[in-house]
Amino acid sequence: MQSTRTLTTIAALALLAGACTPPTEVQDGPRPAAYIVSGPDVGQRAPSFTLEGATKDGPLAQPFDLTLQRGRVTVLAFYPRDFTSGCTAEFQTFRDRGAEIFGEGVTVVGISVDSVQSHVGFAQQIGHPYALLADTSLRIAKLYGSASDQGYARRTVYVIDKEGKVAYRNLRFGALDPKAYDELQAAVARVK
Amino acid sequence: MTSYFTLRRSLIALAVSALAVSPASAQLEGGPAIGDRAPVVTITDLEGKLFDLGTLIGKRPVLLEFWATWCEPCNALMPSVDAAYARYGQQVAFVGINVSIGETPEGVRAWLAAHTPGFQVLYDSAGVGTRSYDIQATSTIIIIGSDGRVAYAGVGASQDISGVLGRLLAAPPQTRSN
Repeated sequence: MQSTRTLTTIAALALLAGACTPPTEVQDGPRPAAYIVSGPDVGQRAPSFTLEGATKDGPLAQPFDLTLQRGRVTVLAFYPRDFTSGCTAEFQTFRDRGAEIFGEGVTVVGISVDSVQSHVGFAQQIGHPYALLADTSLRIAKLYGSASDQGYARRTVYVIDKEGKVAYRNLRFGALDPKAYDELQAAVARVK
Repeated sequence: MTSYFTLRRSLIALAVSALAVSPASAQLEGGPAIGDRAPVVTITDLEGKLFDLGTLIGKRPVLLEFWATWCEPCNALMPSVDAAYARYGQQVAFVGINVSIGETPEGVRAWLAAHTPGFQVLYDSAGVGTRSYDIQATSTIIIIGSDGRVAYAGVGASQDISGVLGRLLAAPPQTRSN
């Protein structure tokens, strides 16, 4: 029994060592066809949270509190990192097409592992009009099935209706795919 | 049976990835896996005409660059792509795919007039290329061997494109049954 436990421990440590291998630029093998996710599905209540954040004007005076958005449609956009090209594409599109995609009366927040100070710089660089939240421990990304195993959030989008339930989710939002924005726009329009 | 195919797929991928060793600079999010068959899709050009990647893929090595005029890493990567095109442009088909997000055809035309990359540029207004190849970031380079399989996938400003192409062209053809 003891030797079985020892072997199990060694195997677990070996797996952990593999999981902690630094990321590389070149993918060197097949990737899983699907992600296992645990975030709330459409129709389920969106988990409550509060997070510090920032806009291009500086840090938010109060932490963002999802429960205070009840009565408004809220869009949560999880993304990997500030200043990366995919995230720049996504938030430039939100900036340029925000009135069309979201319209009036919708709260839009970006959420990544970056710090409040990083968010201020990123929002200023692209002139982003919405708040960016600092999920530095990935706690909220994990709640929403949006944490990658590389230590940052995957690019996902949730639309939360006025009652606080998930009305739409895209667990692989394509920042460079025009259809992804059209689909998001339609989802927001359905619950306004 | 599943594990046999998984093992087989892993071995093929490892064999092909041996061609594509490059220092890490940025992590590729999404993108096709090394060894996968490259999607053969039809993408519009700046005039709205359809261009079939099937006229190139599987017939000769192909380099696809997913880019945008506003993309700083793309601009930083440009000298590496230009140098590779100058060196390998006769052997490898280079295709620039503008992702169209945050762009207009007029803006891209103006950019091309100033930069003249010299190779085919497409304007992916419907997102066909980005969806098919699961591209999540501009400055993504996909290199496809003459067997039609993905030999390299990388992103960011510091990619050694000439080095990858040199290794790809020097390597013996892969033998596969699927």
